[in-house]
Amino acid sequence: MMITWGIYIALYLFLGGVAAGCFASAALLDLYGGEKYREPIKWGAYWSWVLMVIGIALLVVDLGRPERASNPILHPNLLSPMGGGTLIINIFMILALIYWLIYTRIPRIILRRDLIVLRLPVIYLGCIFAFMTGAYTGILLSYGSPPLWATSSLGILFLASALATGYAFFILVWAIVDKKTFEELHPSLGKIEAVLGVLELIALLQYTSVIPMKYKVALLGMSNLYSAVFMSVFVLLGILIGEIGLPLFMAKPRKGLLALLCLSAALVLIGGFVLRYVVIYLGQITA
Amino acid sequence: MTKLTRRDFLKTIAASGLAAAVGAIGSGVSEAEAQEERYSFLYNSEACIGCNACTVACKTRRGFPISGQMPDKLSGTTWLYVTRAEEGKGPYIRHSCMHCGDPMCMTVCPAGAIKKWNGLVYIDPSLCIGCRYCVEACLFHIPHFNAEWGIGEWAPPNVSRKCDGCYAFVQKGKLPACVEVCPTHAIRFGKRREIVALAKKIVAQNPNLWIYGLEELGGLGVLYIFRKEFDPVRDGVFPKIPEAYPQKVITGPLAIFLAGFGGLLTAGYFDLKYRAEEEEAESQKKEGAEGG
Repeated sequence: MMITWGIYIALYLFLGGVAAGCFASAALLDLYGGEKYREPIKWGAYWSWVLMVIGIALLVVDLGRPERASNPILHPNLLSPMGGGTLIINIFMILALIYWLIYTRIPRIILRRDLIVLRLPVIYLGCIFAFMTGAYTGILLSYGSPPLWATSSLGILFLASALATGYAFFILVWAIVDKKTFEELHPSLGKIEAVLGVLELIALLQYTSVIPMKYKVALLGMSNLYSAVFMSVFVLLGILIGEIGLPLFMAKPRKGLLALLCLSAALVLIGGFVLRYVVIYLGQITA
Repeated sequence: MTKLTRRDFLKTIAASGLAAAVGAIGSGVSEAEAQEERYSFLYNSEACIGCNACTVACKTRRGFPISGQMPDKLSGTTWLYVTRAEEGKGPYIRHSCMHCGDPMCMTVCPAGAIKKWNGLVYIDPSLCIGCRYCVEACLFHIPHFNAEWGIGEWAPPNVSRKCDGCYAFVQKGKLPACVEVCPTHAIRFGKRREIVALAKKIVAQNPNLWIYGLEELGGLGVLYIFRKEFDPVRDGVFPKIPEAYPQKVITGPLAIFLAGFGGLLTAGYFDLKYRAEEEEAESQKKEGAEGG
């Protein structure tokens, strides 16, 4: 079968997932720690809407008729994952933008008041829509005919990957914008990353248990380039080393922590992209 | 007895509930009756001689280019072709839209560009956004993205296209082009009850034949008559329809909803934990102040 959906869709699903996970991480840190972590929260919110905007822009560019990109909103089919998903990601993007604005001076300059009153509703609603966005990126594919896609378990795997990659991205941003608070908390942060890695591994096992044997072999059997990249980059480097091994190694104070953290986050992010890329391409090739 | 799928059951319940809500019971046509009345095709593989007159008629009616060689795959401007099941042998197979009773392409289209008219599933090119979701969702790989130069009103560029059952021509009292020109009446067209009755009559007259398409995906809008020794699913011509295929319509949104619920619970957990810790810190502060 021809490749109908390519790199733009893979990037869109990846960035959507990172944005969702980054928002959820920032929002949960906000609920857990509040004002003390203002800087990482603000930048986490900023990147979640920026990444969402980039993802949606890639999706629009990929459309055959980009000038009709508003049709799913003007003539919606809410039974369609893409139709319902368009609403979800747009609402999520707006919530992420508001969340960022809450922590900036912009509302005070423009509206002459701050938006702090919206903080809790935006956090709660934003978490709902962030999780829905993460799951939607997988559910979108699960309605496709390729047997590698045709299971709702892909939604769970993509959600788990969204949380892990978004979290990795967020702690990377955190380490850059506020090293002091980051260093105070980094052992716990590493443990959370490892827990997310274990959850992703469970979601991967669950997903691979429901796909037909022929496709399981194509994905995991190392018999083609896609499978080799999937197993070595996503499973080994991304989950086992980047998400579980390195964060646990970093749980004790060591030298070169920031470099290790960058390496861990980079591995998780590359692995997350490889997951989307391989599932999209191999799914179509083996259909 | 017709097997009732879970989706049919849920649809029946939803339809009954809606009908009761608007007080429309008894005033409209039931879904079963609508199914009987929808238009369908019958393709008799035994009667087909593989002349591809249907392919040429289809292209001619739409003004699509015809090359010397007959097509062997569908595209934005090839909506139908006939070929043998295997290279040079096996029964003839008509490859075109199945006009499914439950068309997945229509379910997934985000812009509502795929519609049905009396059972004929068609794409409205003026609404199509070119996302190619229908191309990915169709088990039979029927819709194709027309990335070619636009060819008239029927194949504008950068939208998905497929056989529309000539619905615009049927509305004007004409037959679909493929049916009109078939020299052996291998392709028939009519109301589903008539088509099903005709297919059963042909099969009753020749016990070596059987019908494909009566139950698949809500009943295909194209019924096939094959010899019993040929099974298009077993022989890899048509896909095996996964048992869970229609159920995804329910489980997909449910999974998204549950994910959102998970987000709410996670946020709630962190919120409560933080508040409890804050209260504890405050009470410790108070105790400390009182003690001091």
